[in-house]
Amino acid sequence: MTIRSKVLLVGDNPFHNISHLSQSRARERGANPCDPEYAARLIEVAVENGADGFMFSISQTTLEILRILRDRGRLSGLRLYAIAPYAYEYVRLASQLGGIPGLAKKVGGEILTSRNASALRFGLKGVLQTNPEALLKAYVSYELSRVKAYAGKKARVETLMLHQVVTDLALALGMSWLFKAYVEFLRDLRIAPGFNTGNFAFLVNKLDEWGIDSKKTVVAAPFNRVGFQMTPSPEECEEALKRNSTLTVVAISVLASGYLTLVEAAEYLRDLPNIAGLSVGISKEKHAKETFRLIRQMLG
Amino acid sequence: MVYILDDEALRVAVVGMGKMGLLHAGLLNVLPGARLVAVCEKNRLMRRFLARMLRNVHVVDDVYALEDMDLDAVYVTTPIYAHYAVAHAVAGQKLARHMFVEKPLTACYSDSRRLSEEAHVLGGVNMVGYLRRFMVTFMHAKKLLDRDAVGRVEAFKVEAYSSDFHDVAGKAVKANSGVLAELGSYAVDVARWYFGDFIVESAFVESRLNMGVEDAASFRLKSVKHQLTGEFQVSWCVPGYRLPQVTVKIKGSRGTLEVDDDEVRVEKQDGEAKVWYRPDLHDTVDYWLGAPEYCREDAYFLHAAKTGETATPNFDEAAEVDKLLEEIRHKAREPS
Repeated sequence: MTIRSKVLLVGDNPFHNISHLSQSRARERGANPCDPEYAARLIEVAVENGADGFMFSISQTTLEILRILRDRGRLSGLRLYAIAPYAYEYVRLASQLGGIPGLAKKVGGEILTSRNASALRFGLKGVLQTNPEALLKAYVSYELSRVKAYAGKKARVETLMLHQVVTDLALALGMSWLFKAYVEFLRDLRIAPGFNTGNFAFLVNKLDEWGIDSKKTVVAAPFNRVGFQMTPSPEECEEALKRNSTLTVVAISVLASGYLTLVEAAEYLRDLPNIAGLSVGISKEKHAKETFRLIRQMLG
Repeated sequence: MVYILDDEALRVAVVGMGKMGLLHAGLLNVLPGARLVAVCEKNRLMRRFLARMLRNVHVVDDVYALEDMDLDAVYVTTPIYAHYAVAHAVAGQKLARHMFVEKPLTACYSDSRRLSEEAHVLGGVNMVGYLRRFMVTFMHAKKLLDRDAVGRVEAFKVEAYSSDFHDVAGKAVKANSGVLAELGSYAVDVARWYFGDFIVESAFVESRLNMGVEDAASFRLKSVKHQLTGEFQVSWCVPGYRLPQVTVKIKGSRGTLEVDDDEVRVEKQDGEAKVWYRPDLHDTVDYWLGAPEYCREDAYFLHAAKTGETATPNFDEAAEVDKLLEEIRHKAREPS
């Protein structure tokens, strides 16, 4: 893969008011980036300055952003890298509904009312046969139907990635069946399967060990000069990256949540092999312009 | 802290497969010092799915079914109201020598005290999951305080906030326990860890959401040994706290120190100022699940169980937190 082919993605963290460096910094930023109109405008500016796509957790905020971009005719050609579930919302709901059983009932109810035939069929099978694979397929069908409802059927959904918490929990529990079922199901849907992980090296090894064909599987994982969130160590993550030639690796946390400058981030990524793309969050028009223009200049 | 865990794995079971149970089960399955042998869950549907999802792990419906599994350690991650019954069964039936209980230890001080005594009889390592003791920011602040980085501590303030129940008007919400147990316990534990024992000077507790539990509290604790008073504010109805956060603001004779889940800030009277973020504090672990502190916490407990070293905070210390929480509730009920 040449440097020129790197995919530059707008990350959605600021649109959910997330700063992994400091929550107080996110609070100081105020609510502006969470306004879908404003966020959609930022994505437009980013695209005008070199961004290729949008990486987002599927939430009401990001779905609304997609709807606005579609209405403005700015969605065609935009590469969508979706992540599900939006873990924060599910954790919050679990707290509000008295735990996981309450959450499961709510999500089950939403799948029922979605009227998505695949989601309903797999959901029914999953519950009646106690079949976790079918439930996984029901959930994936449901989330994809939400994206299509807002972005339109012609939207370019490149991948649906399992959220970091789900990937890393399933990985830790050795649930190879989940990885196999997920990869196969997404391929059947002609969408690249994807995993968002905080344990890149571990995931790469396990996919090999479990004999999962990882060709064109997207993996989003932290890569940055200071090793922030690179588990268990930057060296092991970089080594796994060198060894891998089949996964499509998208670097996240490239600025270490604002700890690094753009130039520092880009210099580090320029020297890494096998990075297919990267995702960066933006919260102001000025940032959107400068960030993607500079990264495009430095990384081609 | 780096814990070297050898491959000789401790046999561990997790009781209560909610959010925290799943998280600990995952870590225990992946850390080299442990092997997840069994999980226990009351909910029948959850249990049926767990049995299909977790291969090579026993799935049982009752803590007594863990007998004869030759367990070394049990993690208790049930709702708080069930902590005592489960941990009491583990100790009484000698299901395992070592026990980890999610915070707070129990819902009432007398139960916590009893459990602490039972754990002494059991003889293994016992620990309560006060996670902030394993966050690099709070660990760094502790080191700075131990080195008198801001001089003699004169006063402090603790805020423990989340937005879990902010903006829930009109929604059917339910909580298994109140904000004092969920967030206030962290605030009190950090204060005890940093400054020692306290007594309750004043307290105000509010229920705003008709869930039958407290939703906000403010209280003042006074140090037993030092001329030191701390102000505490606790609430889960505050906007802007996407994740729960504890902030400790300390005024010393030579400057101020502020620590929260993300950063440590020191400002000295001579004008010197410094900020440390997580990337500055070597926030790396062997496996990332949820946040690095979970892995650090479990690795620490397993290390203590293997070496026989005392783990902190143990049941004795955690019982003292429960005592203060009970006194706060009691004080809040006194006529002003």
